Amino acid sequence: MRAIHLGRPYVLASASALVLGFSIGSAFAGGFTAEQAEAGRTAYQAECAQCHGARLEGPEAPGLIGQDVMGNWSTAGGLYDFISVAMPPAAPGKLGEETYLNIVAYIMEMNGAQPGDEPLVADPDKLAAVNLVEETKEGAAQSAAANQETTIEAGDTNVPQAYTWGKELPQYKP
Amino acid sequence: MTLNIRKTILAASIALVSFAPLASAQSVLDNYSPVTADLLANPPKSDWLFWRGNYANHGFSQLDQINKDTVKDLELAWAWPMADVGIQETVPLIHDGVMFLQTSNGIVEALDAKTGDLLWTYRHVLPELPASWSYQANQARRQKNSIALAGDKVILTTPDAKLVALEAKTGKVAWEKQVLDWQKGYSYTIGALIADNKIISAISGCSIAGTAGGCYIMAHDLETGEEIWRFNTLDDPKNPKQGESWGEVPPENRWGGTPWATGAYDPELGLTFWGVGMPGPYAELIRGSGEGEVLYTNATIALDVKTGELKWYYQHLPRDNWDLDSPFERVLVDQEIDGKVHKLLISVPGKNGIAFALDRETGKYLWSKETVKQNVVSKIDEDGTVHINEELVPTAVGQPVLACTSVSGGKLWQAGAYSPLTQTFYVPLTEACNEVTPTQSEFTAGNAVGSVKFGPRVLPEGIDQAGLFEALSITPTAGDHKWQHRQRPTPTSSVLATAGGLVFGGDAGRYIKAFDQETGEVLWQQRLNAPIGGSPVSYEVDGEQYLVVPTGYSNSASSISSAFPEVPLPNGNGNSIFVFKLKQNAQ
Repeated sequence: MRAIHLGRPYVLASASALVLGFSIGSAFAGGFTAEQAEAGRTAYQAECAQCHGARLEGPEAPGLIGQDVMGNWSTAGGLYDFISVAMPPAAPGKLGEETYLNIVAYIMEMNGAQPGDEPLVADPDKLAAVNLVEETKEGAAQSAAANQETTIEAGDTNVPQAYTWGKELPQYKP
Repeated sequence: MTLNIRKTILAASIALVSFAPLASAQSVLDNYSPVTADLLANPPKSDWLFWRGNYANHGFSQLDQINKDTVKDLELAWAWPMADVGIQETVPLIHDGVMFLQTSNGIVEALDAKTGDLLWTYRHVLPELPASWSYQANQARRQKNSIALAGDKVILTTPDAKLVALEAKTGKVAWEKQVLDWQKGYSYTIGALIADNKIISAISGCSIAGTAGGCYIMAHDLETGEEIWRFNTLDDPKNPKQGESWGEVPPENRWGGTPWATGAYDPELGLTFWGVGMPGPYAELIRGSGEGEVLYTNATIALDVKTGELKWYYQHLPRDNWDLDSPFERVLVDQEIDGKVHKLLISVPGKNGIAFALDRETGKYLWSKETVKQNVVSKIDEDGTVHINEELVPTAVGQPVLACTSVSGGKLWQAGAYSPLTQTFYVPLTEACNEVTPTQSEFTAGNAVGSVKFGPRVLPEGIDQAGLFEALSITPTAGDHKWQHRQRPTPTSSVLATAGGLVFGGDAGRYIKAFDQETGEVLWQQRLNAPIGGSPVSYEVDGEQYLVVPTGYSNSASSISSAFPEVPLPNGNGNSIFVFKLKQNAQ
C-alpha cells in the first residue's frame, strides 16, 4: 500500500485529549500526529458516532474505549484492517485510506495514546508495529489517576481473569 | 382542585405505564382471555403465542388465506415505529386480537392487532451502567427474541436480569423478581418459555468478566416468581466428565455457555431442550483448557422440566476456538414411518451452519448435513463424535487462522422454520469467513472475555453470494437439499413457514420475500425501510389473515455489508413493524 504523509506534523494535544486530562509533551507517542487525530475526530463524529457513541462509548455498536478493547485489536494494523474493509456498514470500505488512518489515530488518542511527530501510514508492517495496549497504557493509567470519573472510564480490573492471565504463552512469529 | 390533585396522585402511581386514550373506550383488551396451559399446548391458529409459534419451535403458521395464489395481493394494513432503537431481533406476540411488541431496554407495547392502535406501554427502569461497561451496555440494546404470554400476564425478561410479570390488560406490574446480579454482568437477551406452570428462562452475559463460573437455565414459579431449579452450563458436579473437559481450568475461570435462544418443550417426554453457546475465552490457548471439549458449550441439553435434572447432552462443536457458538433454535419434529413415530430434534445449532438430527428421547445422533462453507469441523463419525480441524487451533498468541464461517455466521439468531406440509426445514444462512487471532488482554468489569481479534467478514473463496435461504428435507435417516436460494445480500430475519405453502424471510437489502415451499421460487417481495429483522409471524383477526414483519438494524446486516456494497444499508436504525393483509376485493 502507498504510504500517506499528512502535511507538517505538530505536537499540540487536541481538545479531546485535554478532556481526558492528559499532560502535554508526554514522553510516550503513539505513532500518529495530532493533526491526524483531529481530522479523525471530525470523520469519526460524522461517520461512526451515530452507533459507536460521541465518546466512543457505544452502545448501539460496541464501545471503543478500554485496554481490553485495545488488546483485542492488538495493533493499529488490526484495527485498520477491520474498519477499512467493514465500516461503516452503510458504506463499507468507502471512506478512503487517509480517513481510516485518521479514525484509527482518533480512537487511539481517545484511549490515552499521545500524538507524536511521525504520522500513521498505511504500511502493513508499520501499522502492525503500533501496539495499541502499549501506546494507550500510560495514558489510561494517567487518566485513571486524574479523578474518580476517569477511573471508571479506564475500567475496573477487579474481576476474574483468564486462567492463563499472567502466564507466559508462546508468541507468534510470522 | 380536588380533582386535579387526585389526577396527579394517579399519574404518579402508574408512572411506568401509560395508557393510550383508546384503552378507556371499547377496547380489544376487554375480550382478552387468559392464555391457559391448554392454549400453550395447542395454540389456536389465529394466535402467535410463542417466539416460534409452538412448543416445538416450528415457526409454522396454520393459516392459509395468504397462499401461493393470493400472496400477490398483499397490501399494507398498518405500520408502527418501535419505541426504541437497538439491534432488531424481536417477535410480536398475538392473542385475541392484541399484539404485544417488545423492544430493547425492556419496553413492551400492546397494540390493537387489527387497527394498529396503541393500547398501553410499559417502560422498564434500568440502572445506569458505568460508561466503561460498553459490552454490557451494547448487549442491553439487543432486542430479546421474545416475551412470553401466560394466563392473564405478559412475562418480560429484562436487561438487568429481572423477570417482570405484567397484567396483560393494563401493562401494570403484577410482580418482579431480581434473578441474578446485573452488576456482575448478567442480563437477559432472550424471552422465557412457559412450561409446566413454570417460567423457564436462560440468562445471558456469561461472556462478561464478572459472571465467571455460572451460566444458568432456570425455572421460576409462574405465579410467584420463586426459583424452583437452576442448571449451570459451566459447572456440573454431578457429571465428572463435564469438569474434566475443562482441563485444569476451575469454574471461577470459565465463561460462556450462554443458552441465548429460547428452548423447546416436549410435554409428553417432560423434557425441555436448550442450545448452549461458545466457551470463553474463545481460544483454548488463552482459555487454558488444552484439548478439552469444554462441556456443555456448543451442546444440546435435555432437562427434566420438573427438576432441571440433565437427561442427556450432545455436543455439536467440541473445543471451539473461533466463537462459533451453537445455541440456536432446537426444533422438535415427529414423523411416522411404517407405524413407528420418530421423535426427532433437528437444528442448525451453530454458526458453522451444519444441520443435525438427534433422537430427542435419548440424545442419539442420527445424521448431519453441511450447508454453508465451513472448515472448522473435519469429520463427524457415525456415532456422532465431532472432530475439529486441528490446523485451525492457534498455538501462539497473535497467530491468525482463517475460520469459516465467521463470528457472525453462518447461522445466527435468525430462526429457521419447519413445515409439516413439506417435511422441510427452511434456514436463513450467510456465507462468511474471518480471521481469528488470539490476544492476551486484562479483563475489565462490564466487558467481554473473548480475547481474540476478529478480522473483517469475507466471502469464502469462489463464492460471491453471501446470502443463502436453505431448504433441507428432513427424515429420520437424512437431511438433504430440497432447494437453495442464493443471493448477494444476507438473510437478516427469521423465516416463517405457513399452511399456505409459503416461506417468508427477509434480507439486508430490505426485501421481505415469500418463497414457494416446494421450489424456492420467489412469489412476492416488498422492499421496506430497513433490513428485515426479528421474526415475521402471522395471525388472524375477524376472519382476515395478517403478516407482521419487523424491520431494523441487526448485526446480521451490518457485520457483512462489505460483501454486497452495491446495496448500501440505510444510515437510520428504522426499527418498525409493517403489517400486511390481502386486498379486500381479492379475498
